[in-house]
Amino acid sequence: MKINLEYRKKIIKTTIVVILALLFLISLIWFASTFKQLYRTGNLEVDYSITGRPTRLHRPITISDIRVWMTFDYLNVIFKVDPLYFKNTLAITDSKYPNISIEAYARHNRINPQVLLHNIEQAIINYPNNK
Amino acid sequence: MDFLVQAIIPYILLYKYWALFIATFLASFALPIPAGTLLIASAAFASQGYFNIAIIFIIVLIANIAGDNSSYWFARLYGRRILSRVPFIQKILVSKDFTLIEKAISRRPGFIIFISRFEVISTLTINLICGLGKATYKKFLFFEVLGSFANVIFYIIIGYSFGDSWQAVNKLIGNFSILFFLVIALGISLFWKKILAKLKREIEK
Repeated sequence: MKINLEYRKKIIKTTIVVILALLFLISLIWFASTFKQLYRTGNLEVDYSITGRPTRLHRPITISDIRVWMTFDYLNVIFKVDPLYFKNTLAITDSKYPNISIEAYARHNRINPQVLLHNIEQAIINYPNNK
Repeated sequence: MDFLVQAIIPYILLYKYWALFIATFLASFALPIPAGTLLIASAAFASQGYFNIAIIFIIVLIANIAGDNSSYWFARLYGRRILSRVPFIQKILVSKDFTLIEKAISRRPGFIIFISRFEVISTLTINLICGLGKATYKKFLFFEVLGSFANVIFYIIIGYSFGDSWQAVNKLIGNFSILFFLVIALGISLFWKKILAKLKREIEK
């Protein structure tokens, strides 16, 4: 009986170790693959060195970087847009503007977030200072 | 991006430094909120001109220290009383192995406290163990402040340096964290008995 218990404990321990080892191997491959992909796309180049000096031209933010969690206030700052531009162009009447996220605005007004995202992207492309 | 981070980031953008303070405090005190990711994001937003990096540094450092110390004192004053009410936790608290770990950390807490600041689950765990084991408060405070300072600087440098690419870099850090914890888990599984025996010998000396 005691031998059976010891044997069972050994089997369980070996199983746990094998599973952890496999998970480790999979994670290592996944990490290496992510690193390689990010390195190739230039995402691992720093904008500023530890001394605070710029090391490369700051990658300009583009419309493909816009996400639904971003607020209109944030978009105004990073795209250097007039604070009332989105309000006028997209006919936003929400009193919280610009302190409201794209996702929250879409939810309150029952708009598809992806459709709103597309409209915002078009508004930025058509912004007078971008021409 | 992680669902939790996606849920919290809009509040960081809306309520700015207040939201960052509250999220960081709660992450240090009791909740497994990805504070590192939020700090990387905030530093990236600062590089884009949306926040002030110096204010972020001060706010997050204060929040980290306040949260860690609140967690330590809560565990020290009320921890055993509250946790003992859950039967299986009570069993762990009175077990020989847990007592051994408590004593080992209380004797030499420095490195463990310092390194645990870099990950939220380890921060909460070590704060709890130090509080329950009544580790010397001065030692805990010293290494906790040192660790928090290093942790905040580390994540701010990453966020500010990589700027707009912060989401991609954060993904890589997340992958690395998983790898790191699997290594620790594997090491503990393989050498658990030897680790306990060594701790026992050190404490008996």
